[in-house]
Amino acid sequence: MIATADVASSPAPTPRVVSKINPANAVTASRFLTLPPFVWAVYNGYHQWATLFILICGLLDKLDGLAAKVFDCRSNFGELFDAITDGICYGFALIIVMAYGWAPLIPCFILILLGGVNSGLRAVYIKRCGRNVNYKSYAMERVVGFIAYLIGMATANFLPSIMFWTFVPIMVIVVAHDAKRMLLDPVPT
Amino acid sequence: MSLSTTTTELVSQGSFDWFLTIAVGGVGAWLFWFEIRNVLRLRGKPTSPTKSDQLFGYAMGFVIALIALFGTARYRGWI
Repeated sequence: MIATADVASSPAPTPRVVSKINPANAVTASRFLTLPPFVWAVYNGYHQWATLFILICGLLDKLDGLAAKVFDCRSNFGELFDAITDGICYGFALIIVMAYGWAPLIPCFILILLGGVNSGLRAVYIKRCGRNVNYKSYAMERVVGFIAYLIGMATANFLPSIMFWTFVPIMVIVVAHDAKRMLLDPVPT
Repeated sequence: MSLSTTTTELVSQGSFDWFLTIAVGGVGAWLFWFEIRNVLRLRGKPTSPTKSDQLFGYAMGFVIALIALFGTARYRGWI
């Protein structure tokens, strides 16, 4: 009886607020630090060093999710920040390998363009939902992971032409699928 | 005999090739198995948009794994 009264009089639990400055977001932000040495390595023609720096960038991408779990600091902002960082880091690295002729021009251009389209679609999806929410695309998660690999393949001279051209149709299919889901299908409540 | 050498790379080309074989082929093989396991786990679950998204994602992952395996075999000159 007493316990019931206690429950009835206790205030409703407030939603947990996660600071934007937290370990997971710090790990995400640290990925930008790999870009200057990456540019240095590409500029000087150091293939293995460039591969190492893009590998570190990719590993940090995996670590931020782990940090969010360990420190219990998951947030919608963190997810969006992670997606934006993916776009900036991998987009920038793609431009660099394309500019220095380490990767084929046309597929790189198509991938960057489709990446931009995907970011635009996500912005529209946020407007449709009316809140900061990152559309969870299982396919795009795999595609982004492979784009990191593609940059590594370009720096390592691992059949860059074949790998980039083979990947373009997959990217087109995934962006088309996600466009339908984000623009046409009902948004989750 | 020169006491100082200037190296511009981390390891020998042979070692780097094996690293790439493991990093691309090994991860491709793991992803191949991982996606098959994911699809099998979805069996019996009710149809929903989330399930369709998951199936589509796993199918794309499966294709990416095949590309990685093919690329590794081609890079090593096995095919």
